[in-house]
Amino acid sequence: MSLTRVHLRQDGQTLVAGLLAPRVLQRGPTCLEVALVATNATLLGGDHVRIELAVDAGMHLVIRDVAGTVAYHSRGREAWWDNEIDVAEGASLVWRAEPLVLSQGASVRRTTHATVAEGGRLLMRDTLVLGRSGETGGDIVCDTELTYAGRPALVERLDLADATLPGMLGAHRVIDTVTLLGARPAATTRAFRLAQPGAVARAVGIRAHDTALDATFEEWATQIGAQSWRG
Amino acid sequence: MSGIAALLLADARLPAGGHTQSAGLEPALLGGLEPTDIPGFLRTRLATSARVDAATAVVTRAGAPVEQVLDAWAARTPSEVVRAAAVEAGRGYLRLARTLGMPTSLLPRDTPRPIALGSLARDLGLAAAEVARVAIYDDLQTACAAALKLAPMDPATPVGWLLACADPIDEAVADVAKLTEPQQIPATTAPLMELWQHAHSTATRRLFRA
Repeated sequence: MSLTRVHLRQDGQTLVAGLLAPRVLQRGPTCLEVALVATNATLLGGDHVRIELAVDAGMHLVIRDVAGTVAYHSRGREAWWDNEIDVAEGASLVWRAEPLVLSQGASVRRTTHATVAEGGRLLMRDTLVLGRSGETGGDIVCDTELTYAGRPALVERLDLADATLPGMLGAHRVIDTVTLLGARPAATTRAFRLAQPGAVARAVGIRAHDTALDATFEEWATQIGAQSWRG
Repeated sequence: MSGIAALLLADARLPAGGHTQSAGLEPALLGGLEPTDIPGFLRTRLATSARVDAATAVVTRAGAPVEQVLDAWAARTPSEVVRAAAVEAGRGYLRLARTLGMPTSLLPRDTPRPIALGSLARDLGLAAAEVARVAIYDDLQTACAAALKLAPMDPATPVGWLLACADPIDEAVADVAKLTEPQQIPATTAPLMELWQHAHSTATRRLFRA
């Protein structure tokens, strides 16, 4: 297993490099902006990537992916990707993730667990692309489990092995999701309103970056005050 | 009592308001699902939302704390439109329970259908597998009945679709009947179906509530 870890504390940060290496882009009194840079070809069959992101009380962490990730033909071996997120009271995490492209023959199991304390905020993007140009794409099962203030906020299994089944993705090859926890968005934004404070904006499309969720992401980033963290 | 109770709960003549529902089929057809894809749509529901709701009913029947079941179900039902439609559908069961003086009538007014159904099944002494089968059958049969109104065809045709699902229904029943804890409820999702259902509250010209 390859562990990448970013832990932002009041008195500093811990950075652990794995297949993805954290590089500090910007630092402020209560905020840190980090890029995740691929150090090797990922994602191959048998790879097990684990990303741990933790933000202590009152601190703000912004994560950027430098590039999208391609999951290659896995030659019969699954690749695993686990995201473990911990956001404390009054803390925020904004993850500007780039697309995960599932090549023909790729087989990926991904889990995303997030624990957000009361008053904490989490904003993240998740774009899955089935296939590079001209391919039908690989398989992925994504298990997502997010809790807010100790209560389940979003629990979902997205199994795209049979993506063409009616009601799954149909002819679409891209599924784009922006998730917000710890705040309720303006009524005008198209999104699912979760029972707990939070929302999920989802769109399906033919090509990555044509799903119009960029605006939603920026709107929600502004809403949770991401502009004010710098400097 | 459970001998007729399971039949009663699966009967469209039960005055619980089931005729207002299309189990997501009307939103799907408005969203672009081809009528020829309805049998596949039934398979998708069986693998996703119908399974989530059946498991929710089973866990409620098993006696799990209702607030915890509600949290677990709501976390698996992200669209507030879908949740509101389920609450509306639950009201029919609560009304029935109130008139008949059953404990289910004590549930909060905003109890969604799968929890109301599970609670009623508990009051009526249904076994776990029975409530799972009722929940899944009702979901798929609701879509089949709505199909006749939305895409006219020989009424026997949807019966054939449902019968073709018999084995996978039995498998789903066996899978969910053994669950007892809210966190065990499956969370499989069908993204397009969810988006279609979410859009339904603003759709004009609709026959069904959901």
